[in-house]
Amino acid sequence: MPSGGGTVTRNADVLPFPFPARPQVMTGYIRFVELGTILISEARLWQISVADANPRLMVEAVSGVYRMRHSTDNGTVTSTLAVAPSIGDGVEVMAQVNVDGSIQIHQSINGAALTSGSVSSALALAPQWSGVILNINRGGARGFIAIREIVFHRGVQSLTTMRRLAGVT
Amino acid sequence: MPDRIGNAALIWSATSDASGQRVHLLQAPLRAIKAGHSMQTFQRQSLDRSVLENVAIGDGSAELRGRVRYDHDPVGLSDAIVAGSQGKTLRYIPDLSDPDVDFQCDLVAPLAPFGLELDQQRGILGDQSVELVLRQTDQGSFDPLYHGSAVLFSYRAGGSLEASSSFGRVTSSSAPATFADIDAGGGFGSLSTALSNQARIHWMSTASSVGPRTFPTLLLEDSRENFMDESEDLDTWTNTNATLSSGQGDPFGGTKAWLVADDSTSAFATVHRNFTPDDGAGPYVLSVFLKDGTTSSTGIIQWRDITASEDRVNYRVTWSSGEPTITVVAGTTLSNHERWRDGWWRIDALSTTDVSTGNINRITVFPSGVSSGIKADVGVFGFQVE
Repeated sequence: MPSGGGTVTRNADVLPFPFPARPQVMTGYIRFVELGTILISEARLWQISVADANPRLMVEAVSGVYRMRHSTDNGTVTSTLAVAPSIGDGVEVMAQVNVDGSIQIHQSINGAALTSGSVSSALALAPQWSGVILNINRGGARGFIAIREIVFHRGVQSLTTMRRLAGVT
Repeated sequence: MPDRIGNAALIWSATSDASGQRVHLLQAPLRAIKAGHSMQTFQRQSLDRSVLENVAIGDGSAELRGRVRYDHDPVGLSDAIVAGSQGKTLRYIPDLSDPDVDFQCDLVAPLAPFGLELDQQRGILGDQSVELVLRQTDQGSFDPLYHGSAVLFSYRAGGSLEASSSFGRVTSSSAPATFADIDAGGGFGSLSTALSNQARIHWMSTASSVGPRTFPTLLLEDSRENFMDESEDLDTWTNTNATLSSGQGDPFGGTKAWLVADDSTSAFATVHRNFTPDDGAGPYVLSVFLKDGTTSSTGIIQWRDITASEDRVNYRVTWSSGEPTITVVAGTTLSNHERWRDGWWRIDALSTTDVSTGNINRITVFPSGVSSGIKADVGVFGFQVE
């Protein structure tokens, strides 16, 4: 941010996509370079729905690690990772939604073996999300990421499958 | 009659039919999906074949080619093709369990007159097949359908953002946004400024690599203020015994960088500028571009809270074969030093503690450290505290 006679401010990037698919058994995969989102409380990697309205699904940074959260009007369930990436790490985060609405998050840092959060309790899937929007780095707090690929696929898929769909070699 | 192995359908309006709406249930979602595009183009070459001239009429339309398989309702399938031939919109739903994922299509081919084919696998049992060429009525891409009907969303850095409802980031001289391009500088990163509402395709290399940047990323960042004013104008900084040379090649490919030299053997040289962070207690991050000078020594980049008399960042920088080695005396390195074009490197540092709002802070460059007996110089550019 080159400055002249005064300070300057870079505005935030805003990136929403249409996401008409209803709540269902699915897997979300994002590969990115960590630039600081992990350090910002409740910064979203991605969120399906409008900002604070349920039902919604998201992956966010909480207490220095990534956490997956599924919220409906009947409750909230989470799945939390134990290991945090460092700035500059290549990170893959995979988020699975099961048929009973339970969720599980997985992560690979710099191509290392997958680590996983615990499977959450069940939470019945709502008939639709509060908004047909996929927000990337938005929906709550914003962070800093460099995205390489992001893919959502029906069904509970393996990391191998999601990597193939994303074109990751 | 085989069980359906999918849940797809073609739907169209049929006002001349008592049913009003016609539905053709597909035995499986369209198979052998192939992406395509149709656009009227003209091209000619110069006589010596060195110049190509292209003329395109408009932006054309994305197309999808997909094969209907195992169809045992040839009348219904034929009626769908007839409807498409009559200009009716065919609504393709890959999965009726998720009807909001649908595509409003015009039929490009086949048009009547046509003939269905026997299915290559089950034709002996009477199943029929046909390849459909479809365009969306808004000429839009069929992504993510190109990946197969089970893909709900797909994006790869560098791909089209047309599907995005609205990418936004207002950029101006008072609100700049930069990124690393690879259009020059041997692929090591050329600093570039994004246009307003233009997404930044930021090229990177792996964290442990100092080689060329080999993969694109989509850079998404929150709003940040650079609390350093005059970040590129060292002639406005306070100079103590330093020799400043302007007009040095910079990471943009321009000439706004500076060479800061200590030419004295009797006193050490510095340049510094004060600033006041006022965005809360922090912590804050300092970053700056450095380049090995003609005479290397152990230089210092210091961020000192003058009011509290404490260093927030103190980096000792030595050089070997044009690459810096950072020894941290104060502060925390967030990432490996990042290589850029023409021998430039970007370093970063997290301040030691939260910064007290309102305190006077100072960034100082010591080309030869605090030794008065050494001559040295270093290239500097683009100071940033955010």
